[in-house]
Amino acid sequence: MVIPVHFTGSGATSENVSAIVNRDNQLDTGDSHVKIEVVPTDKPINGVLNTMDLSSGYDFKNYPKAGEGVNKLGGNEGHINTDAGQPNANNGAAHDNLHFAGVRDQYDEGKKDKDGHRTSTPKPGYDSTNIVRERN
Amino acid sequence: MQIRIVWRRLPSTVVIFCVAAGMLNAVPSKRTPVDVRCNGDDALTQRTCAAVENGLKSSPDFILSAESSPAELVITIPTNVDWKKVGKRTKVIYLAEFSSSGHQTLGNTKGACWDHAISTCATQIIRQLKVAARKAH
Repeated sequence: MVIPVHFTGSGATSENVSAIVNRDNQLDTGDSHVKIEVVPTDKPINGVLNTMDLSSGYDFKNYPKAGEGVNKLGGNEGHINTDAGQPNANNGAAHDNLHFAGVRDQYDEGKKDKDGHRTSTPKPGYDSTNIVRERN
Repeated sequence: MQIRIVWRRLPSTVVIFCVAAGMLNAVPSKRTPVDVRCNGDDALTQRTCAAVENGLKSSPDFILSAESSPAELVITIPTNVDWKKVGKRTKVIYLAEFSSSGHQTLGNTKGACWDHAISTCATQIIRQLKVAARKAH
């Protein structure tokens, strides 16, 4: 599964891009025939080029709940707030890169905690080691 | 002659009576607190969930749950919403599930709306929640 991604924004340093790509490309898909290959590039591969903006600040206009994400499942644009610090921002980007390829989230949102923050648990069959079990 | 006058005045008399009766019964109805849970974080799913939350805020029947008003009903978007391109427009296709806070399943609904009018999806979901809520006990 090849996912071409053009990393843009002030957070798209070679160090961050390398960390994101390594995180995705070392994922165990559970099927030896399926391998994920995120390719950092500014040129389309087979007509496909996704853009991931790594920059400061949340974008609640386009992403009203989380302030970041990709435009849609199988979409081609994303934004990650680098103010979240590392490794959170890089993990968020690695998670959202998979949405470019149409990979679904695999968590169940639960009751909010006493401070009103969202809680989630991995869907049955997934655990906390899985990249799609939550945003980070 | 007198009968004719009475008949002419009858519609306005009925209207006045109905308005007065309505005012007498105008006790504020209880709005049921609802929690919205979204099992997806792409923008279309986030926007669908936010639209449902906004719709609940202005609903006469429901209110968004808070610590002060714990949820009695739960709307869950169980997975990332789907979409398809129709010409230059994007159609959002959703599934929403309804349950009570005690985990009683109250059914689900599927529907679609244009992404530039995503509040239409929210209106559909909240309308179906009203139907589903009658099953709660």
